[in-house]
Amino acid sequence: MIAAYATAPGRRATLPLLALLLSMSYAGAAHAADAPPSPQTTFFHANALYKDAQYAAAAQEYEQVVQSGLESGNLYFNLGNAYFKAGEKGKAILNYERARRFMPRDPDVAANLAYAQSLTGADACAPALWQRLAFPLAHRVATGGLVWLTSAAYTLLLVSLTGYRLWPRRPRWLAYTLTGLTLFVVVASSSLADQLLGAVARHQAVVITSGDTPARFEPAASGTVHFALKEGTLVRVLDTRPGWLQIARCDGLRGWVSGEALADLRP
Amino acid sequence: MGLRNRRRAMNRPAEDRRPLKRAQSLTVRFSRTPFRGRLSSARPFMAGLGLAALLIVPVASPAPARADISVRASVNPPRARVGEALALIIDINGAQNVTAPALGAIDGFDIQYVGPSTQISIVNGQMNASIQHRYSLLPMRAGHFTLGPFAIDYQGKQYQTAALGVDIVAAGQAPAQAPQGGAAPAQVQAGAQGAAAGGALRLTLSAPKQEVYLHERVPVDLILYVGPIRVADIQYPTLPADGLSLDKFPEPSQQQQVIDGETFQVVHFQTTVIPLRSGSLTLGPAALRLNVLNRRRTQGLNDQFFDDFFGTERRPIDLRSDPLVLNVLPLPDVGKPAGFSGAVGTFTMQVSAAPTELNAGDPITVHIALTGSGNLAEAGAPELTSVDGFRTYEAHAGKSESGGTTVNKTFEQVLIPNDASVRTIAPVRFSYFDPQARRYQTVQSQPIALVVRAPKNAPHAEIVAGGAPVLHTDPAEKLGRDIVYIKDDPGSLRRRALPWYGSLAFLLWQPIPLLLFGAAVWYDQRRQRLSGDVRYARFTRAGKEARRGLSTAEQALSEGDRPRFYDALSRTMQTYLSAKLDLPPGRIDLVTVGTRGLPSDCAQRIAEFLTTCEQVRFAPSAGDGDMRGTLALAQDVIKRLERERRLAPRSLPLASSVRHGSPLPSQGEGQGEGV
Repeated sequence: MIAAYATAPGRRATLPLLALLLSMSYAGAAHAADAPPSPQTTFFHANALYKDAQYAAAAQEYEQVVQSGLESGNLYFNLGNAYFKAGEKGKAILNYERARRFMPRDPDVAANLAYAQSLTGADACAPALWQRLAFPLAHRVATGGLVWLTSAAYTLLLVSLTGYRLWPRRPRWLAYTLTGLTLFVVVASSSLADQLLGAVARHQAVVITSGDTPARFEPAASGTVHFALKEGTLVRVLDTRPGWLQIARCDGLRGWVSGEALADLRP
Repeated sequence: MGLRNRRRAMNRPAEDRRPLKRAQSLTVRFSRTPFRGRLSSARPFMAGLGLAALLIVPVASPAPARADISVRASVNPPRARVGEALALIIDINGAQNVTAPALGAIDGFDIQYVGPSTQISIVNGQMNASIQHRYSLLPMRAGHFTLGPFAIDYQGKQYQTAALGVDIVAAGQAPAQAPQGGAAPAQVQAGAQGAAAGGALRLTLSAPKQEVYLHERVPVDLILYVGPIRVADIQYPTLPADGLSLDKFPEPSQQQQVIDGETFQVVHFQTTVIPLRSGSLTLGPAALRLNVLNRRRTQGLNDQFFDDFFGTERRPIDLRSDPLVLNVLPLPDVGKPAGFSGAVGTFTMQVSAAPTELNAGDPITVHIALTGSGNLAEAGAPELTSVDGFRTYEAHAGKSESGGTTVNKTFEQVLIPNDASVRTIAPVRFSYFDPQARRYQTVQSQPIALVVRAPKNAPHAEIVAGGAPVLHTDPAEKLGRDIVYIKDDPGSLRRRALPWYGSLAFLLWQPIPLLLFGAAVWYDQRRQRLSGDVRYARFTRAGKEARRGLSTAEQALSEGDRPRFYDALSRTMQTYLSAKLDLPPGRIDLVTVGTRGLPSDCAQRIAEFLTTCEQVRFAPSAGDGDMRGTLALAQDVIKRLERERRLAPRSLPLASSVRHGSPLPSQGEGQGEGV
């Protein structure tokens, strides 16, 4: 940095403004450096870390984005990948499950989740056939999309009914349209209800500890082991005690599991 | 005469050095420069007297004779050091409305106009007006200079001052005494001294070459030479660059340099430009602003101590360099490699990969680093000459850094070997245009050896049949298994706290279609009832029809048509009551009305109305019977019955009704005979 320089023998002349300008530019840079990066920037930086095989650091930065209150399917997917590469399969499955809530039809999410579950042996907890038939949209459309579809179909149905009621001729094609819309509203709303009751209203968690996690008959370490939970198993939380959670597995078996072994599906 | 006056007299030209006639002359001088404005007369009371004289002159004295003006230029002091300001005064005698002459640029000086100063003098009753235009000159280099002659335009004529000679010495030297007799004759010394030929301040703009290629990074040097003067507040230069991409100026370097025996402080700004189009492009001229520090001279005290004590003044100076013309050549099409992506310069490439020992299906990251001098902004990722046996992902460009003309750019390419047969990563090839060699160059890395193992725990399909040997499927058919790569973009990031479908607007919208449908159902039902239920239709429409009938009656009343009034009123009430009470039109009488379950006051009002109508009908000579009162009564009855929303019970059989008194005439009976 320029501070001063001599111009004539015995004299010194300063460059204060230049020094001020430079110091201001550095101060500005320092200020910019102090400002926290945006979530998008953190996401891309985490991507770069992932590409540099720094998986743990990448996972930490993805977690920062999640902790900032933002979420998206891609974010949870990448976070699951980072945990997977870092060797934490349970957390990977947890975040793949979260990503699936946003992108139920994304093949990458489904593939990675299935692969991770196959490595840990966790039960996929696939919905029963009757559930897939009765609520066909519940496992194919994300909650937001399903709400939008249901609301739009409901609005269109009632507007059409209004027209049908007021139209003296009441044409047949309008009756067919009304029938189709009614069926769609029923399917969409029931799927939405199933999704909300299943994924939103139910308290679900994923086993994140490696190896087999014992589920006991009572909420104590001395309790008899009822069954073992694989890493990444999705369970439903039924009750809580200090340090313990009563869970139900997909097959209906219930047991008490240490709270440290589980992570809530809702971040 | 004091020291100050003696000095002034010495600095004036010889012809101007004459003693003031104190008793016979009165001088009032005004300055338009606020910081220098003063009354220059020696005594305050004389100034007041002059002002008084000014007021008297237009009345008591004849107007001054219109004569040619005289102009004179002087410089004070005629000898000075570099960096010391001089005062150039152009004195116009005989007029005051003369604008300041534009002096233009004066070689060796920076010139600024200070302002005018006017003066009126009355000598022996003759008034004389004059104006002085003052300029401040800042010598930029040593030497002998000639100022002027300066031309003044006044009322279509041009006047010219004499030329002035000024001697400027270097800053460290003492200025020589001015020769007696005033300014030296004009004498121009071209060239000035050595490196100081450009003056005490000089700004130069240069590039190592002027013929460059499109997208070539060209270093540019902007050098400020500061001679033996004091400067401060040097600002960053501005450099117009049309058609060129100009990098920011980094922190300048500073050094001392002796040129032709004189010491200069050199401030060196270095940056680079990149031509964005071919052709002749002009860079600059560069402009730079700084302040020159002048010692504030103490009048009459030629002493260094007092000069320093009274401080310095800052004089802003705008320096400009000469423009620089670049001849930008387009990149040649001849010899352009297929993989050329726009890099111009000279580069080297380093390629590494990690890990080099891995299982099939595991990713390998190939790091490619390009380093050199030039422009890599347009450069795409270098290409692998072969990706056979690999699954590839799009190369990711890393951060591009540049420091002066040196640039670095990195790329990362992820490869996944499909199977264990892969042995090497093929060479990476990168092409660029070398402006020094004026041709395209291609660099290629060495292949990177790999050790790829078969994936651990790979599921091998085994077919066991009746003790036959185990058959393994073709390993070439095996597919690797791994997770799918990360997503490049974050998708639609949204706040977790409130989903969009929880917003108030969305929730408020939901009942609107339902309300719309409910309104349609109500309307349709009412429409159907009106068309299918005669009683309901009569009941519903009775009020509207009654209002229409009352309007007709009001019109008849206003016209004074008594028969028509009672006819309209009677017909309206019959129709209305029969509709409201569900009675045949001819059955409206006191008895039947009383059986319809009406409130007593309402039934009483109806009875009153019917009685009035009876009286009018059977006693037509009884006057007009208060037509207005009858109309008000009918309106009141209708108003009361309109509040009744319930449909009246079905009418009793006519045979069961018991008549008391005379019924009202039926609709047919009433017609033509009045009420």
